[in-house]
Amino acid sequence: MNRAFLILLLTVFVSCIQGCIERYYPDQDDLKTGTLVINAHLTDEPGYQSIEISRSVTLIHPSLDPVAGAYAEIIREDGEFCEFTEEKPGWYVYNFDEEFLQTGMSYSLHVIAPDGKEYESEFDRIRPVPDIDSIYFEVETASFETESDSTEGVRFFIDFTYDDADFECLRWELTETYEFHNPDMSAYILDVDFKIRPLPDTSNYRVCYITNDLPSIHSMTLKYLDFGIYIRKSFGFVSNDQLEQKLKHKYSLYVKQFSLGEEAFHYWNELKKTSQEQGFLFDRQPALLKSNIHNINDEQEIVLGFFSMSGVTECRGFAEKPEGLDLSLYEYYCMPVVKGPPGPVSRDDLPKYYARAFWDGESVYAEINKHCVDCREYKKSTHIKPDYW
Amino acid sequence: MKIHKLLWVFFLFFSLVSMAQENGERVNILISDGDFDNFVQQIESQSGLHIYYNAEWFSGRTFSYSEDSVDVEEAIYDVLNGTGLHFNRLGPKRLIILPQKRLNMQLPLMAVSMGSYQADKMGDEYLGVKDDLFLTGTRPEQISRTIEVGKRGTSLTRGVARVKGKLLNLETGEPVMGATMVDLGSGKGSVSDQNGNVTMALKPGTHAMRFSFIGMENVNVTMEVFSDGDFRVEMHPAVIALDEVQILGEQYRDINTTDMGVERFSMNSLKQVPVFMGERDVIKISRLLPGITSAGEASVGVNVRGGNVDQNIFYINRLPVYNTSHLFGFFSAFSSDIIRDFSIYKGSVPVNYGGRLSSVFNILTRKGNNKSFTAHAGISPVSANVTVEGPVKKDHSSFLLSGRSSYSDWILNQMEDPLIRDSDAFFYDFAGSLNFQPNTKNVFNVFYYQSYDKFRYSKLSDYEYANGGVSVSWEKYISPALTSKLTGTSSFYDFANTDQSEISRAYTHEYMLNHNEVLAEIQWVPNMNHKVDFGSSLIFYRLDRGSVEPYGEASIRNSVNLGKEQALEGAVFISDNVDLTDWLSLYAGIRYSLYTMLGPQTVMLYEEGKPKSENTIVDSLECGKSESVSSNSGPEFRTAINMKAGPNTSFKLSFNQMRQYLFMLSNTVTISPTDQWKLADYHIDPQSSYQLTGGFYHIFSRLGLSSSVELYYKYSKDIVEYKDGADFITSPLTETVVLQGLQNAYGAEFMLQKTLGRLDGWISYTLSRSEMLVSGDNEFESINNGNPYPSNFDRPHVLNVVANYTINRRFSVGSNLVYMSGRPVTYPTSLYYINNVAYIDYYARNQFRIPDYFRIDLSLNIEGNLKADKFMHSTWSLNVYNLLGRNNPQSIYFVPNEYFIKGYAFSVIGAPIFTMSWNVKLGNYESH
Repeated sequence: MNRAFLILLLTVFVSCIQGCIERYYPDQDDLKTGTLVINAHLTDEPGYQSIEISRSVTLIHPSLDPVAGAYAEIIREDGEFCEFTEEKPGWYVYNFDEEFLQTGMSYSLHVIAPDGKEYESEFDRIRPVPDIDSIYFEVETASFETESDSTEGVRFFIDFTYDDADFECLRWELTETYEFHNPDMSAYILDVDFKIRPLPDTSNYRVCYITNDLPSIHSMTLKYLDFGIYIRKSFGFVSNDQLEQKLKHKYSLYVKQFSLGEEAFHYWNELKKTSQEQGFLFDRQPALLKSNIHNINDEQEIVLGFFSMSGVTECRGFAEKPEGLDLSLYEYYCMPVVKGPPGPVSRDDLPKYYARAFWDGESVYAEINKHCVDCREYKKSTHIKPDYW
Repeated sequence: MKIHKLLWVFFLFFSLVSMAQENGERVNILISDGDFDNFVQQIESQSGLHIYYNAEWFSGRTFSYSEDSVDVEEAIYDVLNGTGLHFNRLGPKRLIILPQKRLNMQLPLMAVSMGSYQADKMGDEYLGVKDDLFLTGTRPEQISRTIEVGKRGTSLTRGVARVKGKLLNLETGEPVMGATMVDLGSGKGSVSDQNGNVTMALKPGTHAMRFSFIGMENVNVTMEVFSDGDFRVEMHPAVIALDEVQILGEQYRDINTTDMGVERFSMNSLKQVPVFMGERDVIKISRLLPGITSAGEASVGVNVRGGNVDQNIFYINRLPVYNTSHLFGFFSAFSSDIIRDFSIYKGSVPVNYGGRLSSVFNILTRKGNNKSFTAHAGISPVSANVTVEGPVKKDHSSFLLSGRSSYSDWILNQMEDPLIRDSDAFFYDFAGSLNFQPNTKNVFNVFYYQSYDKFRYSKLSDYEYANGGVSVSWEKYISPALTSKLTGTSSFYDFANTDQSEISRAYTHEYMLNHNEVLAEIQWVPNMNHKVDFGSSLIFYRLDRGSVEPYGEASIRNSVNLGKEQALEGAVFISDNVDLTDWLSLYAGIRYSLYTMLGPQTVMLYEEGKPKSENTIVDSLECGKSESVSSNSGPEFRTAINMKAGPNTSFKLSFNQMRQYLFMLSNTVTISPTDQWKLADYHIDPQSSYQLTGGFYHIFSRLGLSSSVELYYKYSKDIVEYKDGADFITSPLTETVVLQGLQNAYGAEFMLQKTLGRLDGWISYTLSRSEMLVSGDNEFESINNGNPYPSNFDRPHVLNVVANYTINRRFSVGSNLVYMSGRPVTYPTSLYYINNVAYIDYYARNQFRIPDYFRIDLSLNIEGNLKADKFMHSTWSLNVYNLLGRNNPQSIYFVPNEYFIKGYAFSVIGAPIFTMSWNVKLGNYESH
């Protein structure tokens, strides 16, 4: 019996088994750049709207490669058209009036690239968009890898009704804004005169507002839903991260809801899938995104991007000090860690900022980052309170 | 010294270049038109043997013989062949040559108790003699014995007798399938079927016959044929005999038959091959053969000669199994403990098989020991199994029960991927068999099989699936020339899946497939040059694709009923295996299959020239219950020619046509547990393929090496491919998301196999390509802009080396070396910006490849002691999978963010895996 038990123990012995995910660098020779990209998603909203024209760029150290000197126009089904003007390289704008943008009418894009190649899109119709009945949030706990690895936060929802047969598909663009506070502390500045003095309040920006366009794509088709139902659409989870402070003071989500046709929905849906992390056992075949814009002389030329016309509606929701969340600050944020007083520094490195800190029982100057005394330096924020705040 | 020996062993272990030397009574003989005395002199002077014979019998005869290092008994056997004389061993150093077939010494008790060869008359009565092993010493397979077939004095009007043999495992009474019976005089042969039956037409007279099968000792007999008749040969499982030569019938099968692209193995012969996690797995072993690949460790099924996974059918005792995997594809759903042998048809497929374009995997289980009760059990790091078998009525009926179950999902907890680590898994499979042979004319078999899997992928998905069914067969031996078999099967495959990866779209889905089949097969041997197989089959498919229902309160998904489908697939088939001359044989067959999809069904009709979508529906057809929705039929020609260029060499050509009426809905690179089988319908045509194969086969008999080169070209049409972003659960209208195209696959398969001596194994290399083309009249009917692209499983170079070395009866080592070109993958080639966010541009489908795959495995197998009198015998197996710890990526993926993109390679196994498994059986080392 003992022998059998020993064998059993040996049997289940395994040194290790683990899958492995490691960085992969594609061969430079495999890369192909320079494909024309036309991003033209226009709405029925009067005012300035833009079309971006660029070329695809390398995977390694990429940056936008705008196409300057192109010609772009929107043609309505009745022959009316609007010519765009280039405001900056690759950025073409037009100030639309209400009359040109009519729900139910179809529009097409016509572009002439600087090399003389002409491109046009399929016609796309402006479809009606449902009104957003309400926007609200709920506190929830999101689990990640394990039960113990979870976090609290809020999730925003909007409600609308599928009550028009002309509603086909929808897409949402989200923008978040939140209030951010620097810790309350006495700050000092070592100025170019090499003297340390208290930082005046007028220079100490402690309250800022951070606004981000959220890159995640949200889209939905109403095709398989029952007509007339009340739809509750959820958006991404906002984590109550103590360092980020998104929910500490006040958080706002701005939602723009666009109507789409089926082709445009398919495009955004596939674009979303290509940008989502993959890599599990059942890897999906990536889609080669088909544009509805093509070279009128060369059907084989691949064009990236899409042209769509949408109806649009919008709303904004707020989450101010949500109940049930631990809204304490991250205590180590902007804590001075380098002991002063300052040693020899170059004038070029000035000014530097300090706070008072206790070091070995002694009150000393300790260096802090600039964004700790000027929140405008943090994540492209601004100290100007938005008018909707 | 021991270390030195071990190093030597490992050196041999990794290299097939150096072959082990055989130690036996070997002599060099060179006689050119010499007399027999000269022949004997040469033997006696080199071996120390004394050969007794009457010189008068050889008077006037001359002999020519030239062989180096030939086994003495083999040389004598060859020289005496056709003389009517036979030799018998009198002791370790004495041989006697007599006209009698055997030396008749009266030691009845021993003769009876050790009998190993028996021969029947037309009925149950034995015609032949009981074996007398006391004469043969320890080498019975080298001695020729006599089997008499038919009735003496019978005159045959047609000039040939039809002899039908039953080849049985001496120890278990189970039939031996795939064994060859070769008439050494004419070189003609035949292969035993799954019930061990082998049929040949022979001229009356004396024939030197050899029976061979991998894992069994060869049996050489002198067959005296008087008329039509039966015989029985019991083959002894090969006890690893280090000094002896095993010439395996499998090699000669390649030379003597018209089979091409056919692989056959008995599980016994694969005991030493290293395995993953201690689980011996026929499907994983099959991936070591030429032309058979997979997507990686965790992948379901196989890709055969560039075909999709759904182009293969897996039978276990003729019961079709639609999902052959356990645990994400890490293991197969077949417990190796019950498998007797398996065959893979990937080139020329016999006419009694159909329904898939690429291959047929035919797995046969053991029938159960009909002589005594026995049990086997085993435990591996993943699962435990137990098998019980024994006679219901000794020698007439037997049963076998086998079960296997996982007992832990710890393997998942070791994974680095947090989602897998947070997952649970469980599986089991069960098989039961009842075999009943009331008399020599009838055999009945009932087989039941079920497998079940359940796993939870983190908190995102729950999967549950099961295969199962029953097969009942009745085999009737109408006459030595005519055998019939009737098989009825009923199998099912179902799955249930809950997906919560997106709360608002969470759903649950259940799916069910039923396959009910009746198959009648008849084999007729009208004369010595023909073997005719004919029959018919009828399959009734019933699919319930299920409803996709919203799951959870937050889900706003609408319920979608994917619908039910049913269809009939019938086939009639006939083939003839014709020996046109001594060197030319022909297999000519035709299978005519008919397919009808049955109502009730609503068929949507779409606007011409527009993509099929809900928006382009213009009308619909209502088909009533049992009304034909769509039908299709066509011939499938199967032909093969074998041209023998000598006893050890042959050239072959074959043409094989197949049709397939159901396919799998899958747009993932590897098959996922939620992929649905779907029937061809009004819009989706059945798939078909045409394969041309040419081959060259040669046996280096003295080295025990067999070699083959097979070239193939396979053209398949109406292969189902999926539109970008295809989703199979949002709409029942499958035709809106699939396209059909052409598949071209071609390649060369090289195989060098060694089955002699301590070192055995094979080296196979495959050079192949597989390409898809989906190019319709309109852009929306094309994939990859209508340009050809490599299929997902196109691997141009595949090298497999399997080397096993037997140190002694207790210790053996094995190794695998696997190299494969990386499979095609669609990579991003550039980035572009939409609303200031970087997105990936996938330029063209499958234009790039993931890194090549390379793996080495090792195993050490240790048998318990060799005591004859013991209650239980243990075997330990130590395995190292992926010895080098190499990361072999299964997939490549890219994650973009606002500014740049990161590429990642995901390897399922990223480290060497050491495992130990333990198997135990009742009895001693030789027990079965």
